[in-house]
Amino acid sequence: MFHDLNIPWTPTSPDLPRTIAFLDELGYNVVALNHTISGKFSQSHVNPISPDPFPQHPRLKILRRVTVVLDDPAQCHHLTSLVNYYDLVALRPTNDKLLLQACSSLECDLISIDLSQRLSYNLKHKIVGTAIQRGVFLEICYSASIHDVAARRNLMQNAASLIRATRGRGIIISSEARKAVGVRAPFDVMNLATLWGLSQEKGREAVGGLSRTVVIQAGLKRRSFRGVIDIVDNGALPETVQQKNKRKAEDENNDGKGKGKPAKGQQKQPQKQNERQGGQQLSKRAKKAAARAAATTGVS
Amino acid sequence: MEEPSVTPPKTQKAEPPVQITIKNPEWGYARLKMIYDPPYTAESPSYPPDILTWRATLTMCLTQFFGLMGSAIHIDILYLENDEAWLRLPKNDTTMFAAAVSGYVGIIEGKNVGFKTLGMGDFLMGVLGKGEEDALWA
Repeated sequence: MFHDLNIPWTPTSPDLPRTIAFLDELGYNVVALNHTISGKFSQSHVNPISPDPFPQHPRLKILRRVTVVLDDPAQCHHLTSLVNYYDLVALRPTNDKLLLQACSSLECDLISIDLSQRLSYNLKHKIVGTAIQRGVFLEICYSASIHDVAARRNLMQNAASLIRATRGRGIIISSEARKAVGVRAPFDVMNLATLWGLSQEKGREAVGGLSRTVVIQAGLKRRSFRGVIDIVDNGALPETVQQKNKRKAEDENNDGKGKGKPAKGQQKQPQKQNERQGGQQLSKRAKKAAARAAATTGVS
Repeated sequence: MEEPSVTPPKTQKAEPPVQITIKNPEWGYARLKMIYDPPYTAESPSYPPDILTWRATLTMCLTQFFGLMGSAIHIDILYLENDEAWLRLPKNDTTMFAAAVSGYVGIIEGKNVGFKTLGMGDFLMGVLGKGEEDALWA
């Protein structure tokens, strides 16, 4: 299961259908359309992404995500309202103080720093370690490095230092590709991650396993109570099982008319099966009588 | 009049020494000297080389040897003094850095420039101490 949790979405994205088609072709299973918000946003925000935007790709599961670019601390208060409208909430802090705040206290699913620019601060193990312990994962977006050489250099440096700071744990990789050409196949992304210093198995997790964890955790946060209960359906049996049970009940009733209902707990099913297969429905008494008769005729 | 002698307080039992093993140091430290041929005179405005010259020369050196990956090595310039610099870089990249720096010859303002490694190690104090040790016996 491969995930690409960052495909930028804007109200007018002419390249988006091609990008989605390419992702489907490359073998991705889950894709998240990312709406970026910066500055102030209202409490009664409406998710502009439609719920099922690409029905022509049934194998691709499409989630809706928001990235809030954190410029000033006042934005932090309204974050909890966004949880209801989007499947994933990500934060993009722009300086180290906001990064510290995001890692230690703010409510989100992902922290995605823009690694294609020079960071004015060092990424420290203490700060990002706090985020990972809380269950908030860090994201590396690789598409910026595809066109621009300076961005590629910055991305390599920053990704390497992020991976060093986190010791390789808690990292997911996604594309942030605005065009189809910026997307790479999952195994190519894993190879790219080894360049930055991530080992092979951690790279595999970054594209598949850990991304799935992020999506499931986000779902649990929204649909379950204290992470314990999530009711999948109301417990009604599926149709085929219902029919089987009906037939069983009917058979039990028919045999019961002959010699009284079988006692509870006693399973007479195999016997009844054999009788039915024999073509005759013999009661136990009749069988005993036939056996006695056969014995006496055999003896005599 | 002297005070009556007071028995000294009972000495506390010495705590056992704490042992720490540093297995994977995060950073490596290097001390480099920029060498010019023909050398600068002391009054020249370009001497000692400033931090931007260091940054540009180091980037050029690493790009020449290792291309983009080389220029992406994270180097912190900790301190500059005359024509020496104290640098900090991630431990994994020290080998690449040492290789690039040792063989580099470039041109700045018509003069040939190269690096001389005065020390490289896992601990800054060790690297600096070694340089001071040489000065002691000179």
